[in-house]
Amino acid sequence: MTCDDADLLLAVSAVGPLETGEAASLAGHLRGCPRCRAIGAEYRQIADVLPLAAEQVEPSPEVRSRLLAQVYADASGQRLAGRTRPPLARRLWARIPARRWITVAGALGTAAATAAAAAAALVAHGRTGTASAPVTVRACGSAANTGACGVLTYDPASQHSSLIVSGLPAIPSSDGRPAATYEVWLVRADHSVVPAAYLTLNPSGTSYDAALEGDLTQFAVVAATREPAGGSTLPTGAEVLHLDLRGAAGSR
Amino acid sequence: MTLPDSRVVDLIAQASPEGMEVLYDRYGRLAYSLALRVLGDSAAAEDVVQESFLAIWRRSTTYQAERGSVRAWLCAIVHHRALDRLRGRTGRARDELPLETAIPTTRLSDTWEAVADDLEREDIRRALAELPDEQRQTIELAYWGGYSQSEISALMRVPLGTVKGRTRMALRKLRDSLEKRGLQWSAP
Repeated sequence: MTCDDADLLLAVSAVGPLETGEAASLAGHLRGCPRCRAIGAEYRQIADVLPLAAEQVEPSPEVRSRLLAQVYADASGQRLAGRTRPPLARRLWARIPARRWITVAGALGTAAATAAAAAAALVAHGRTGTASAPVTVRACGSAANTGACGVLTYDPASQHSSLIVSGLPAIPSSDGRPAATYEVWLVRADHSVVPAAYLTLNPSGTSYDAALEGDLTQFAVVAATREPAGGSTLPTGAEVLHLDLRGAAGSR
Repeated sequence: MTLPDSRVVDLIAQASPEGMEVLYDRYGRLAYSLALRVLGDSAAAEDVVQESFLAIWRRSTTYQAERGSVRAWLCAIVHHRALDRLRGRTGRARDELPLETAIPTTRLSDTWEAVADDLEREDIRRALAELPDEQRQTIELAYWGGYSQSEISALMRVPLGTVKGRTRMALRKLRDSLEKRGLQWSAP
């Protein structure tokens, strides 16, 4: 296959399926041809704008409701499954064959050894695994009693955090600009405060989010307040969200 | 700072339902519009949107940042599922574009962000409308109709090589037209 043949197929594959056998031939050529790989990426970039040409139509609210009902049901099922796992002793007991009482003593010995191994593994995991596992903190309510609920997910490894807040009152606009802003603060145990981010309203208008950077283990609380447009250097408005990070380690 | 799309996908990978809410609220409308354009049926389009988002949630398809933006990835999933439904395909829907298999190592830039920042939808429609009729029809039959090049060749009664040539010319002209309208392509 020549580069010109590949160029033609790359254009075709950016917008639709290739004919039988063409994909394999093209893949073979691309493995040894970085120039054609770059051309293929360029065609893909052009094709990527095509969905924007479709007339934008709002789906019915039921699509969102059905989807999220399923998603939350899945999520609660996963959490429930995590919570309802029988204790180790009961699981070990269940593994002892029925009516083989002679094996009970041996099984208890095995259980003791297994429990010791599990404890050792847990300690090791605490040293290595748990420390870097993402931590999630959820809370609803605040001093201002806005009814807002927030979920903060902190990844200690990357020190990236994601904050998603629902139920916040909409901020009215004046001349097309919001009249106020929701600002996020990191609060230390000594009550000193660091401005962290502004909450951004999602296109659907149903929730706000923000990305936070840095080591959150240095802070006791993540809070949000309503501030004048453009934000403040220190909190001046009512607190609309309060997430207590103390004791959050390990909560998932 | 707004939560980047890649961070939203990370949340979903950590089984955060709130992450799914954000993803849907950002792209549900776009996904539905795309599916509706392909299928022309609102109920079928809604099904495709729900299936696509659930596939992401249940991790039957995973995002790879090196292959492009979250939006482009999501649109690819919706597009292929919609085409599968249009053509009555059964079984597991395709989640990957053929080219994604063919180009294993190319880093795609975040086209969507550039488009969102620099272009209006109307610019894209105008750029498409400016294509010669036969080129625009070729692109539309392939992308929105899911027709293969040989099927388009039969439909338009032109040789297969002509269809492929028109496809390539259409994409090149589309690129030039969008660049004139201010789109800055990121280097691959």
